[in-house]
Amino acid sequence: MEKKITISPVTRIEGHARVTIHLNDEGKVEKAFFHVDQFRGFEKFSEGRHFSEMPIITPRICGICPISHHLASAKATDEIIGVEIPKTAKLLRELIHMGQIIQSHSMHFFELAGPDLILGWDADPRIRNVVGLIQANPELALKAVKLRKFGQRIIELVAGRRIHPTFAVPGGVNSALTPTARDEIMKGIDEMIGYIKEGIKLAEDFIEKNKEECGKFASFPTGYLGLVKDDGSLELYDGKIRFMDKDGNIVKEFKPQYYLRYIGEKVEDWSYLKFPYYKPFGFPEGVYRVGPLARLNIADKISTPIANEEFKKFKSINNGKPLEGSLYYHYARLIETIYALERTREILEDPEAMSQDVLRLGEVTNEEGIGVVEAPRGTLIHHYWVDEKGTIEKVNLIVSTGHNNWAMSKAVEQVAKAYVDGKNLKEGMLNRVEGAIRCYDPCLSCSTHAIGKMPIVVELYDNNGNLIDFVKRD
Amino acid sequence: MKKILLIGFGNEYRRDDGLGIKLLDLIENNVEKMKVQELTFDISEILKDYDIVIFIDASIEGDEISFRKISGEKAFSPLTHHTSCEELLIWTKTLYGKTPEFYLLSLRGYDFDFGEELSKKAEENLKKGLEFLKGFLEGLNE
Repeated sequence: MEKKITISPVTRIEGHARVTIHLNDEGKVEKAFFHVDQFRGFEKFSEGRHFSEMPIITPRICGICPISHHLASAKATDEIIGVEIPKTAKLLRELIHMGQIIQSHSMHFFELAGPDLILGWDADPRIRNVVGLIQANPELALKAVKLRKFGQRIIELVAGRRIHPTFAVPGGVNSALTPTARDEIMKGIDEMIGYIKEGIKLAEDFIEKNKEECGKFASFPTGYLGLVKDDGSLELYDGKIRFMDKDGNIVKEFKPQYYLRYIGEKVEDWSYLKFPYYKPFGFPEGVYRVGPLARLNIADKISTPIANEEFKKFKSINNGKPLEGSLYYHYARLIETIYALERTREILEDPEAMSQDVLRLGEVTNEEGIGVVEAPRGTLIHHYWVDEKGTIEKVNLIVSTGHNNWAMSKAVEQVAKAYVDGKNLKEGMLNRVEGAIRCYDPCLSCSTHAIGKMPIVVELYDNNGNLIDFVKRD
Repeated sequence: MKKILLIGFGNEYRRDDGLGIKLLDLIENNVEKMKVQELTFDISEILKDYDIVIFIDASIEGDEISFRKISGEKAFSPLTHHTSCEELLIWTKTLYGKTPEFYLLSLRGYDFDFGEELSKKAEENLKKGLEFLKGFLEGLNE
């Protein structure tokens, strides 16, 4: 008799995301899936609106990385009016993007990864959470707050507000940087780099103590995809898309505008979310990962000095070959945060960042626009089609959680097979399954939030669909 | 005089999910207000400076409106980015040694599809929530 375990993080949108683990007669894991709802609703919602509204509307997709949607959207609208935006506007957009990376990555590391890395997989679930973490190490938690606040403050100082800014517009941005804002941000950078270095020390200690687990936990071959600069170094705001195969060979580099030639989306009947893959390889051979691990795997170097020193250590772990273990996402996230802080300083030191030349006006000249950025969780694609008046006719969004859909499911299945015993279900086993998902930091809480239901329920069903057991975190 | 902060949270583009934000716009009392899409742990650094914090959000279940004082007891989600009011209370207490009174005003919503308009029943709950909150704030100032 086959049994099914469901792990269901419930927001107010039912079925937003869940894990199902199917057991065989012996209580062993037969297969496992990670299911996520997709964002087509938002795409339909956007149809009929004027394209210039999109950079304001789309940040509402996500309460955690609204800036990524804001910028990908603005880049798409630049193409619709067919203008090359001023260099200053590019710098200021990238600056708030760095703020986004700093706040999002630091939040994930300290709030979601921290309890596993610092308190341990098998710690009592009553304390193995962020509250347990702040009680165990309030000093570290305070630094996490300061880091996130610093990232948010960059956004607020440059774009005028912390969430849902109206800063980036078709053709550039709507205000220049003030010397006061520049000076305030500059003052905090070194202190924040110090905090992240403490995080890196924690991650390196964890890797050192758990080498075998880091190598095996949710570790599997895939391709990797993300933006790089022209010289092959890490890039988060602009650049070209690089696809690397599972062996570390650079297979293709292409302009983001050609993404439809190279990225296909496979439909599976058990998931609402499609499975992107590298078209020339087909599915499933062309499945790939995005996000911090993928970005460091595909990059040749990092253009800022402190981050590049850490990058060399990262690359040395597997002798320059791609790191496959999902736990390395946590380490990569911290290295990227260092880069974001250093890049923030570089931008602020560029005299052009202070220029008043921030906007090029234009009319609708192209019927399509594509904007791509590296959001904290991975490559984010906005593609709009408009009529001659600029009214949105069609929208295609591929979000990071979508790109990583196959990999998250694979990670869940691999970890479930390694750790879950259906006859003797223990909390720590399920935590490892959730831990595999946490590596990818998927946006499960996108779009809405409300008071209502318990976040995690684990249910066991027999093969007739009867609920035979359940576990609830409370 | 007690220092009071109202925090409305939710997504105005998901119909009734925006109840908390919309209620905030209707409050004319001389209190400080803050809008967010989600609660995140870093706002504990702001909350520490207040005596009373009232969170206002939509709810998928329960009464038309409900109001409760927040204690620090609740399960914590290990997967989502959302921080609960309970977690925020613990963050504020543990990190800053401050214990503002936290309250949660929940307004029942019914339609969370994409769109900007509230459902009719949610509109009614918005009015009820507004009256309740006005009365509560007036009581605090007496």
